[in-house]
Amino acid sequence: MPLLEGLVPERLDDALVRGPVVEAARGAVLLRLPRVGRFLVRVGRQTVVERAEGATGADVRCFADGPVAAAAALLRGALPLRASCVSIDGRAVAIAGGAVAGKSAVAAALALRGHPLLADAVTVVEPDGAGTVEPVAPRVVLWPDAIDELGLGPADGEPVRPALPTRAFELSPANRPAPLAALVVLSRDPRLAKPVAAPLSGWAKTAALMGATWHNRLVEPLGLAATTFGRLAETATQLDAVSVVRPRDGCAIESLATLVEEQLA
Amino acid sequence: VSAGIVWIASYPKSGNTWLRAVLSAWQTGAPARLDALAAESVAARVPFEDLLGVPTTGLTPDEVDILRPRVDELLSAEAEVTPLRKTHDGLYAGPYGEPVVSASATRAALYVVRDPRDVAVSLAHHAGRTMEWAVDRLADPHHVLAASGRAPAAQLRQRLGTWSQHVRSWADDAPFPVHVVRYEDCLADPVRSFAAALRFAELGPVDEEQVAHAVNGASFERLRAAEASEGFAERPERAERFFRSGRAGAWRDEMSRPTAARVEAAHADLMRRFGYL
Repeated sequence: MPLLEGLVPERLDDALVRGPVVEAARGAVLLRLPRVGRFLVRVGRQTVVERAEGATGADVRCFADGPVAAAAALLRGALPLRASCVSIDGRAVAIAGGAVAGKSAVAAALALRGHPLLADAVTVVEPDGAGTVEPVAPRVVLWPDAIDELGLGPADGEPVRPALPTRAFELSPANRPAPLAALVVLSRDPRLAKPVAAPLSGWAKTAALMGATWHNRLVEPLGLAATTFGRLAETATQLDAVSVVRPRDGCAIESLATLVEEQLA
Repeated sequence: VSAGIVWIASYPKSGNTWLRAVLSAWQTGAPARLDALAAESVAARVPFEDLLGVPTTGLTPDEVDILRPRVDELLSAEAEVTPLRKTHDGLYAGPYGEPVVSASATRAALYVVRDPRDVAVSLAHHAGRTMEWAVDRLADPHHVLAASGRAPAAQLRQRLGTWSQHVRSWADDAPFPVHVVRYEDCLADPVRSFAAALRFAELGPVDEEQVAHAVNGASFERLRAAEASEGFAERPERAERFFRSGRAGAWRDEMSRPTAARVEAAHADLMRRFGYL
């Protein structure tokens, strides 16, 4: 849904959670990004953005595709994951992990192998019982080293924000939804010599899904705990989960993509 | 004890990790574990993003600096025990004029200072570069840690400035109480130096016997052996090991006289003040 440009308040009067960027009340989430703008997301309403002075359309889109989309999903009872997502043999595979774990790079490598890209940054699992992931914002954001490593031409991507070195690429965008069937949790451990993959099961799987949920600090104060935990438990039973820990140095993106394909084969 | 963050601050390669290890051993009563050191880095992206709800890779380093004091305040408000935070930042104003470290969220800081000639030697080994390169960094007002250029750094950008600017920013200009401890004093009389730092930080009753036990549990030999057997996640890419020498005065063996003279000329005032000249 396109954003509406308009006035957005500085604060939410009835906020139940107040963070440096995100404030949330029942049915509304406000995001304040310095030098970008303020976004007001409300249940059943079009999201409104008030741009900061000098902010470009690209500055706004960078957050609209990510946390703003996640907030909208949370408010309508869907499960927003901080994850990129590709479709492998018609099954959605979410690639989650903390900051700079390499989610987008691995998703891009998989997309270049012909696995359609469903989402980057935020993967929304629909509350439809099947855990459907709709294709959204089908572009993946990459840093210059990853662009080179994947053999892409920097000029083929669009700048994400004028002040950042990252670029967004449309690689094999998916044109149909797929049910979420797997969760890959990427992390780094500088002490390792080579990547290590291990399946997750039972409580570890649910915990991994919970850890991948966007800004889960909002869940309890907004009264969404019962719905969200129900959704988490239900989703966890439907999917395979695998942890992939990569070393800091000398670990090719391609080898991680191969590891993911092997684990899910 | 009042709430608020206690900062473990220093220019890089000045003994910050040692102080964190002693603090860990003192708090737990057991030998320091490298995978569970006290005072997580303020610049770690993962906890920062967890509090923020937006990916820091979508923000410019200046925008992150604008948000950092707010994150400190949230962290301090939610903490049940005194949060200890490690930082290498110089205490400078961010883009809107506000320091990157929130004064209202801070209770105190422990700042470790070390002879800049030894800092340069350690930095050169740490980065796998020449002494000249390291000495230039100590004199560079635009020196930053963890700049994300071609790939995202695991940490957020930290502005160091020159060694002298860094020391002054914490020792003279901080809007909260700062206890400055010399690395060389920690080596010469660890129990007394660390006990004084712990008392200042008001983290609990300080018993010198327990401090001695902690110093032993965080000895250089022990940390070095732990790194050799289990590795250390904070070891830099180009360095063979994090815990290398740790002694005072290594510059006399490893740095040429003209290079040492450059450090002395660039930082004479503060070197005199801390007894290095």
